[in-house]
Amino acid sequence: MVATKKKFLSGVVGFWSDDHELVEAAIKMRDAGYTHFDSITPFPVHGMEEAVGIKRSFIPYVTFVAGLVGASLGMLLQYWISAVDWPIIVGGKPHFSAPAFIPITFEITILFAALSSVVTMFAVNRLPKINPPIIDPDLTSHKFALWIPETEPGYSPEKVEAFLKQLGAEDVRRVAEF
Amino acid sequence: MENTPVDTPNQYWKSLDEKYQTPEFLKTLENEFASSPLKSEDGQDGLARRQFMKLMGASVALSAAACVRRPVQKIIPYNKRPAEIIPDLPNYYASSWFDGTQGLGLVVKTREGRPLFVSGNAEHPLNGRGLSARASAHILSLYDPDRLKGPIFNSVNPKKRRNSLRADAKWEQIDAKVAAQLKKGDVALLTASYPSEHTQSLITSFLGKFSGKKYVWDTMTTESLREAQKISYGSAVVPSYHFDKSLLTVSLDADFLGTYLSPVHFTRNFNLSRNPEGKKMAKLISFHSVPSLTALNADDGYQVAASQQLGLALGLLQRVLAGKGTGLTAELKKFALTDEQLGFENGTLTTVAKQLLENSGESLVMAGGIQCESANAINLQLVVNWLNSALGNEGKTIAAQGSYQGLEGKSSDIFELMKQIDDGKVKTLIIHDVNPLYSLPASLGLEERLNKVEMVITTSNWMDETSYLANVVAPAGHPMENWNEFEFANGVHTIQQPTVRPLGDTRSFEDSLIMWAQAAGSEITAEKTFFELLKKKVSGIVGSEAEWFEYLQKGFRGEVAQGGSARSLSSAAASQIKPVDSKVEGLELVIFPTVHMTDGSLANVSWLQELPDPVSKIVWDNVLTLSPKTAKDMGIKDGTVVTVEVNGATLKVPAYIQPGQSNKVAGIALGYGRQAGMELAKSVGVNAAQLIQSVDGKLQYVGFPVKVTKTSEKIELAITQGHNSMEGRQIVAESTFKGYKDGKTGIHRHQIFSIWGQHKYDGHKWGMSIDLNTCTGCSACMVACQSENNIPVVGKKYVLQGREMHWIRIDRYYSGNEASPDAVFQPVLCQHCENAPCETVCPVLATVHSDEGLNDMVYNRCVGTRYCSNNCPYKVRRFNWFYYDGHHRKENLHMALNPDVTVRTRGVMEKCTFCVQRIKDGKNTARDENRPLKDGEIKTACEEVCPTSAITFGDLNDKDSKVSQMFASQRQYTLLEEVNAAPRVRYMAKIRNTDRVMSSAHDANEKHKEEHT
Amino acid sequence: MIERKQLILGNKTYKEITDDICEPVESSPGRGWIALFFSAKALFLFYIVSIGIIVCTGMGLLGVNHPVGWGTMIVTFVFWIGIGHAGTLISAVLFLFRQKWRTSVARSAEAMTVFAVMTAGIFPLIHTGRPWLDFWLIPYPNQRGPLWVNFRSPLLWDVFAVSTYATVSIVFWYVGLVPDFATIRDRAKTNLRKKIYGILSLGWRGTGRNWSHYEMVYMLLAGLSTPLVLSVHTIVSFDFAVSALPGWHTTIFPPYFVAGAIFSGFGMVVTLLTLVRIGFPKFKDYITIDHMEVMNKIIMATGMMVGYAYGAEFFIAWYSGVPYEKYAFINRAVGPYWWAYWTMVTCNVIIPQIFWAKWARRSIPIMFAVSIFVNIGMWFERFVITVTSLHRDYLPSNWGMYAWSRWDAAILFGSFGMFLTIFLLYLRFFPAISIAEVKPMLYVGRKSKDAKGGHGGH
Repeated sequence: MVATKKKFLSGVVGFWSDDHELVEAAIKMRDAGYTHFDSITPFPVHGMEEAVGIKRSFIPYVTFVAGLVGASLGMLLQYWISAVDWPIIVGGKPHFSAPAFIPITFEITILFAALSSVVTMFAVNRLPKINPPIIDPDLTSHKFALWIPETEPGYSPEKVEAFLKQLGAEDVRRVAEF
Repeated sequence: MENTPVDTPNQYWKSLDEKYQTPEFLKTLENEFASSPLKSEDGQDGLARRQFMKLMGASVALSAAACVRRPVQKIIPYNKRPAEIIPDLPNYYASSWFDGTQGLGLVVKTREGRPLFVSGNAEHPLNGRGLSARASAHILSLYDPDRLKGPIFNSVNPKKRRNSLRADAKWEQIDAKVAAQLKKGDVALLTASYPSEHTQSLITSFLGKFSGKKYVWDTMTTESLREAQKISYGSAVVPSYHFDKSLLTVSLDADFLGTYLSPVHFTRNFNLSRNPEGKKMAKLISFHSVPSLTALNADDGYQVAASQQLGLALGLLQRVLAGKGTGLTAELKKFALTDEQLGFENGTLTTVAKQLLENSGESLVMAGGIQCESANAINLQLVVNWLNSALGNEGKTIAAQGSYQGLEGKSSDIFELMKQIDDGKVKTLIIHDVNPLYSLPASLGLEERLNKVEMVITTSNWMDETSYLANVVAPAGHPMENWNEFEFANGVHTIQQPTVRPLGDTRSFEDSLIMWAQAAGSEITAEKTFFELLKKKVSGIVGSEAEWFEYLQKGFRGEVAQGGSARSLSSAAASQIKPVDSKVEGLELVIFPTVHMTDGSLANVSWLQELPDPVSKIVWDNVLTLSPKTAKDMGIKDGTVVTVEVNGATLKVPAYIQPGQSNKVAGIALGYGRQAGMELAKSVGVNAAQLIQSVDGKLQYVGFPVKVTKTSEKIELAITQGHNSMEGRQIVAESTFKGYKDGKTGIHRHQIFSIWGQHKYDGHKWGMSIDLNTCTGCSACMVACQSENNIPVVGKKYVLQGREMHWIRIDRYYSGNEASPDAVFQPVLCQHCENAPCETVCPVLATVHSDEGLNDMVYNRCVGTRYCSNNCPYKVRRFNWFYYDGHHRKENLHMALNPDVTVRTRGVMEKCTFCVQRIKDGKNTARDENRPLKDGEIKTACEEVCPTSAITFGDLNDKDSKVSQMFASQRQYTLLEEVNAAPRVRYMAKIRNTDRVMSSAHDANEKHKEEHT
Repeated sequence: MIERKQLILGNKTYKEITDDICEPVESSPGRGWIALFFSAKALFLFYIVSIGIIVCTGMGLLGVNHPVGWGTMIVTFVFWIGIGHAGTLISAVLFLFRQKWRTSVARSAEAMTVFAVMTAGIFPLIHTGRPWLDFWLIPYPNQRGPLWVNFRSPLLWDVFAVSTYATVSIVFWYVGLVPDFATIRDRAKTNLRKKIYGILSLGWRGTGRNWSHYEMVYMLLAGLSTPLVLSVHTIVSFDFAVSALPGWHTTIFPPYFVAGAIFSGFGMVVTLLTLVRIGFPKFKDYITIDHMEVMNKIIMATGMMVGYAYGAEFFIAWYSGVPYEKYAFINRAVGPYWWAYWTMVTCNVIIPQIFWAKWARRSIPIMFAVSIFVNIGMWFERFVITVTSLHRDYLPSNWGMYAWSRWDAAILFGSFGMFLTIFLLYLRFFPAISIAEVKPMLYVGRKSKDAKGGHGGH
C-alpha cells in the first residue's frame, strides 16, 4: 500500500496501448529498482501484480474472522431469545431447538463475511473518493499506463521521463496531482 | 312512515316486499352495499358490481389512510347499576322454549341484561342439559334486525281498495280498532299447537266472549298419530316413547333423532340403551325413503318408498303375527308387501320380524312425522299400534302415561276455516304462531279467502307472508320476552321466564287477548296482565311466594307421569285399517323437514342457514334429493337445476345426489324460500310447502307422483363436506358389537417415537374425549360454539369458496355401497396437539402452548401468514378473510356477542380455544371459594348442549376425572396418530350393532389389516 | 485439445468494445424501447393499485381459502425467487469454474437476479392477513417484552435468507459495476452524467493495487455467494419440506428446488438476452450464438434433473407406503388439477428435449419459445406443489378446491410489469455487459494477432 501524507501526489505517467507491452515494461521498471510505481489499467491485467510487485491481498483473513463472528452471534442470538429471555412451549420442541437454528446462523455468517470484505476492500482502496483527478479518460477504456509518484526514492521527473521513453512508452506526461 | 304501494300491472317484482315497496325493502336498498364484500344478511349475493366499484374507491382511499386496523368500539356504562346485576358476572335464568312439537327446559345465561347463551336445564326430565341446534340458535332470532319494532296497521293488500296504506301504530289505536271489530262477533282464531293450559283457557274464554272458534294447525303435524291412537286405544294422545327400555327400535321413516316429536329427549334416552360396554346394546333398524338423521344413525338401514310404508308395515305385522300363531285378514294380506316387491334381499322382513319377536316387550316400532303423511298415514299408524301391542311393547316402551301434551293440530281445521270464510261466517280472523300463507300451498286458495275476511289480525313478529294480508299486525314478541308455563309432557310443568325486556314495542299474544277483551268491554280476567294471571294460577298450585321463586329457580315442577297399565288394543282397530291403493308409477315426492330448518320459522337465523344440514352438509340452499341411481338414469348431477311438478304446482330447484335414498322417491325439504319479512332468508331455496297436496280434506306430504325434468341450468351447491369417503384411512374407527365383544375395536395403533422428550404439564392438563358411538351428528354443538365464541357467518358465496368459520365441524362419512351406505359422524375441533404443527411454523409466535397444554391463539399478535392452517393435519383453523365482525354491528345483532370472547378482526387466524374463557371462569370461581376445581365443573359450550354427552372435557392430571377414565378406555384412539401431533382430543370408536360383516373403513393396506386390534 | 471458440466476434479493439457497450447508455432510446417501457410501466401501476385494493379489502379477494391457505402469491414468490438464481450462479459459480464465456452474460444475469428478488420480495410481505404488521417478523427489542419471534419457523428463515441474498447479490453486482461506471464517467460528455456516474463509480482509478484487492474481493464474494445461492432456495423449499403436509414433507425438495431454480433462471436469461440481442444489435458480437447455446445446454440438463425429481417423488411416495403421501401424488397426476401437473411436465421435461438437436440450440426463435415454455412450466411447478398438495390432505371431509379469482391474475401478471420496468431502465442506464470483464476475453480464440491472446484474462 502507498502510505502518503498528502492527499494527492504529483508524478510522471507513461502510456501504452497494449496490455502485454505494459507488463513487460513494468517488469523492466522493477528490475531497474523502482519500488513505488504502479500501473493504471481499464481492466485487471494478467500478471500485473507480479510485475509491479504487489503482495497478495490480506482481505481473506478479514472475511474469515467476520464469518466466525457472524456465526457465533447468530447462534447466540437465537439461543438467548428462545431459551433464556422468553422460554415458551412451541410445538412440543425444546426451548433450544438447535437444528432449527442452523439456517439463520448460516445466513448471518455469509452476510457478515460478504459485507465486511467489501467494506475492507473499499477502505484499503481509499474508496469512495470525491472526484479524484483523472490523468487521462482513456485509461478506463483502452489505454494503459505506468505511474511513478514523487514518493519514489531518488525521484526526479526528467530521469523518470527518459526511462519511460526508453521502455517504449508511446507518450509520457508529468502530472500535477493523482 | 307511510308508503303507497307501487303496483302497476306489468311490473315484475322479486318479492312481496319489493312489490309493495315496504320500509324494510327501501331500507335494504339504502344499506345494500355493506362495509365489506361479505353481506351477512344475504345468502347468495356476491360482489355486486356497484358494491365492487364502491369497494375499489373505499380501498384506494383506505390505502391512502394506511389501512384502518381496528374498528372504533363504543361502550355504554351503567350510570345506575340494577341491584341484581354485577357487571362482568353472568346471571342465569331457568326458562323454556317450545319448538313446534318439542318442548325444552332451558337455562339462559344473561350478561348485563342481555341473553347470550342457552343451555339445557340439567335437571329437566325431558331434555336435561341437552339442546337442539334450533334451541341454541333461537337466541339470535331475539336480536333479529328484521323483527317488527311495534304494532302496525297494514292493508297493503292491493286487492283491498280501502286504505291501501301501511302505518306503524300505537297499541291504543290497535286495541280500539280491534275491539270495535271484535264487537261484531264471528271471531276465528287460527293458531298452532301450544301446550300451555293458561294460554288455552285464556283463548277459550276469549273466544267464548266473541262467539269465536279455534282452528289449530301445525306444519309438523301429529294428526294421524293421534287419530290412530284414538281408534286403537280410545284416546287421541301422543304417547311417550321409552327408547331407554327398547333393545330393538324399528323406525318406519320416523326421524325421532332429528325432527319427529321431541328429538332431544329421544336422543338422550336412545343412547342410554346403547352402551357397548353393557351386556346388551340396543339396535336401530331404519326403513326410510329419504335418509334422515335417524336413518344415518341406524345400525341397519333399508330404502323404502313412501307409498310402500303401509305395505312394509303390514308385511312385518304379517310375519310377527305368524310368529305368534295368528294372522292377517285376507283383505289386509293383499296389501302386505314381500321382500321382492320392496326390493330387499330375501328374508329381510322375516329376520326383522324375528328380531322383533325375540325382543318382545323390549322393542319399539315407530312411524310418524311428515315423512309418513301419505294417503295411508292413519292406516300406517294403526298397523304400528297393532305391531307394538302384538309385541307387548305397549305400556313398556310406548305408553299413554307421560304423553306429549297440547299437540292438537288438524289439517281438517284449515278446510273447516276456509269453509267458514266462504260462508261469510268469519268477520275477524286472528292468526297466532302460524304463517299459513307460507306453510300451506297457494293452491288451497287461502289468500283470496283471507281477503274476504273483514279484519285479519296476525301476531307475527315479522312482516311475513301472512302479515302482508293482515289488516293489523300485533307482534307478540320473542319467547325470551314473554312469560308462560307449559306442560310439555304429562305431569311436567316448565316455566318460561322472560330474560330480557321486550326489545321493541311488542306485546305477548296473551296480553293482547286480555287488552282486546277489555277494550271490547268484556273482561276475560280480573288480572291486568297475563303474568299476574299466570303467577296467581301457579302460586295457587306451588304455594307461597317463596315457593313460587323456588319454582322459578328450578324451572320446572312435577314428574313425567309413570306407571299405569298397558292399554289394550281395541278389537275394532283392525277393521279400521282401510288401505288406500297408493301405488305410484315412476318417481314419487317426499317432503321432509330438516334438523335445522324444520318449518322455517327460524329461517332468518343466520346460524341455522349456515349450519350444514347434518345429512347432506348443504348450507344456504334447498335441494331436490335423488338417489345416485335415479340421478344417473336422468343424467342429473349435483347442482343441476330441475323443475319439480306436482298437479300444476311447479318449483325450480337444484338437485342433490343423496346416497342411501330410495330410487323411487325425490325428496325436498321444508322451511326454505321465505318470501317476505326476512331479509336474510329471502329467496334462500324454494318453498316446498307449495307442493303439499290436499286430498279429500287431508293434507298429504309424501307418496304422490312427481314430474322431475332436468334443465340446462346449474347452481353451485355450498357443501361443507369436501369428500364423503374416508379413502380407507383411519379417521373414524368402527367395529361391530359382536366384534367388540371379541375384543375388536377396529382401531389400528401405530408405534410412535419422537427425538424430543415431552414437556411436563403439572397443574391442570386439559383434554377432551369425544364418543363417536353416542354422537348422532345433531349439530347442536356447532351452533352452541358459534353462539359462545362470536363466530361470524359468511354467506353462501363464501362458503362456496371454502371460507366457513365454524370452530367445531361435524364430518359425515359414508362407507359401503352408495345405494345403502353406513354413515358415521365425527365432530372435529382443534385437537390441542402437544406437538402442535401449527405452532412450529408460526413466525411470530402467535400460536403457542399454555402451561396447561392449551394451544393458544393470540389474535392480536397474528399477522396472518396462514402457515399454521396449512400445517394443521386436521384443518381446524379458520381465517378472517374479510372484516367479518362488521355484520355483528348491525342493529341489535351486536347484542348477541359474548363479551368474554374477543371479536376477531380482519386478517387473523382463529380456532377452537377449548372455551378458554369458561376455563378461566371456572378456575376463578374455585379460587374465590378457595377449593380445588371439581371435575365436570368446567364445561365447554359444545359439551354443555350435547344431548348424549358425547363430549367430555376435563383435567387429565386428575386421575379420577371422567375424561381420564375415557382416555383409559380401549375404544379410545387418536385421530391421525401416525402424524404424532399428540392431540389432547381423543375419540372413542363407534360400535355398530349389526350382524352384517362390516368392511373396515380403515383398509389402507394388508399390513394394517393384520395389526388391527 | 479442441480449439477454443472465439468469445468476442468481429475483431474488435479495446476502444470499440468500450464504445459498443456504452452506446445504449449514451444514446437516446429508440421507439421500440419506449413502447416496451411504457406498456411495462402501465402494467406496473395496475399492479400497485391491485395490491392496494387487496391489502385494504382483505386476502379474501384472492383464491386462497380453507384448505388452500397459500395460493398465487406464494406460488409467484417462489417463481421469482427461483428466477433470481441464474444470475448469481453465472457470476459466482461459473466464475469459480473459470468459465470465460460467462463474462458477456454475467452482468445482465445478475441484474435479472437482483430485480427478480426485488419482485419476489414483495409477495411474502403482501400475502399476510395484516401486511402493515409484517415488521413483527423481525426480532427487534421491544417494550411489550419479552416478545420475540419464532426461530423454528421456516418463514422466519425465509426472512433472513431472502434479505441476505438480496443484500449480497446487490453488493456483488455493484462491485462488478464500479470500474464500468468509471469508464462511463470518463467518457461522459455532459456534466450531469459525469457527476452521476462519478458518484456511482466511487472515484475508481484502476491502479494495480486497486485491481489486486478488487479481484480478491470479487473472488471472495463469488465463493460466498455460491453456498448462499444454494442455501436460499433450500430454505425456500423448507417452507414446504419442513411442514407436515403430504406432498410437502419431502427430503428431496432442497436439491429439487435448486435445480428448478437454475432451470427457470436460465430460461429467463435466455428470454431476456434474445430480446437484448434484438434491441441492441451491436451486442450480438458479445452475446454470441455460442453463449446462447451453452445456456440452452444447461437448460436441458437442469430440465432433466427436475424431471428426475418428479419421478423420484412418485417412487418415494410409493416406496414409503404412507397412504396419505401416495394419495397426494396420485392426486397430482390424475386429480382435479391433472392439467396443471401435465402442463408442468410438458413444459419442463419434454419440450427442452428439443435441445438435443444442435440446430435447435442455435436457433434464436426456438430457444426463445422454449424459454417461454420453461417459465410457464416452472410457475406451474410451484402451483402444483403448493395448491394440489393443500387441496386434498389428511381428512377427506375438508378437501376443497382453490377459488382462483381475477385478483390472482392481476397479481401474477402485474408482477411482470414491475420486473420489466426495472429491467428496461437498467438496460438504458447501466452498461449491460461488463466492460472490464469482457476486455480480457478479447483475444480468446482469435486466430489473428499472436498467440498471447490464448491466455488472456485473469
